[in-house]
Amino acid sequence: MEEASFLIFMTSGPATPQRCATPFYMATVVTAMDGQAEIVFQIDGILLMKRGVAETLVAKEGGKTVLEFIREAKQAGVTMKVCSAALQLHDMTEADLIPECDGVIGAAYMVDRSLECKHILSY
Amino acid sequence: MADLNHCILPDELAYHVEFNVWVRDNGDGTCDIGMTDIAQTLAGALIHCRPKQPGPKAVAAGKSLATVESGKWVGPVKCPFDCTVVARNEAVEKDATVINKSPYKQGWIVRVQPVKPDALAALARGQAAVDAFRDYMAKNNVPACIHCEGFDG
Repeated sequence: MEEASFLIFMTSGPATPQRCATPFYMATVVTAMDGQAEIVFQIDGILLMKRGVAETLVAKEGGKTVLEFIREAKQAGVTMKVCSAALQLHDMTEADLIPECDGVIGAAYMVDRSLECKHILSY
Repeated sequence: MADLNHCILPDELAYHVEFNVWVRDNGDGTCDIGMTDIAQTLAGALIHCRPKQPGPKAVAAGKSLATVESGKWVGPVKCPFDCTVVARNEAVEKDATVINKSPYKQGWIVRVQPVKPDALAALARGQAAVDAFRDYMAKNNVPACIHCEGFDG
């Protein structure tokens, strides 16, 4: 694979747990193939970056927690950023975010990165 | 052949301990590379292996030679030295459990040509490899290797 860059938009949240592991897994695979992956959390997806949520959430009963998927992705080198408007939507502040989160970004950043990255995935 | 806590480490191979891969010098300028017994134990039952395609572009040390997936883990098989890929093992692409069953024989992953002829000199061999893997296993909390049915080393 040519060195690729993937931007992954995560809009699904804890209400649909079956959608909450795959983005991290795919991002980890991208880095395993020497690509770069960044996940942007919007809308309900930001709740996965909220303290206390991902550690009990599982995509499938008996499976790994979403926090384990998040940590594996981080260890692999995946970047994770949250949308500032989504923070407001859920009455959250930066203090509510787990340490795996790499920061808060605005809409212009997302557009810029969308133009820069070769591939975009949305969940 | 060394047996380290039920983990097999053939004497004739060279190892990159940090990347957990073995290298076999084929004597014709090429080397085969695969996952160690310890690596296949850590990964668990493999479900997919996607080796890099052969081609003239050199793969740098530390980059990915293959991506392996198990039910509990996904990650790269890292390149131990700068090289070009000259062949890949289609058998492991069709059935990744070949790596679990035969990590040092049928489960080779890619055949490469080192960029530098002395590339293997920096790898660990013999007792030095055993000692280094003992430390690796302690660090990564691997008490012993697990062998599936049909394991042939």
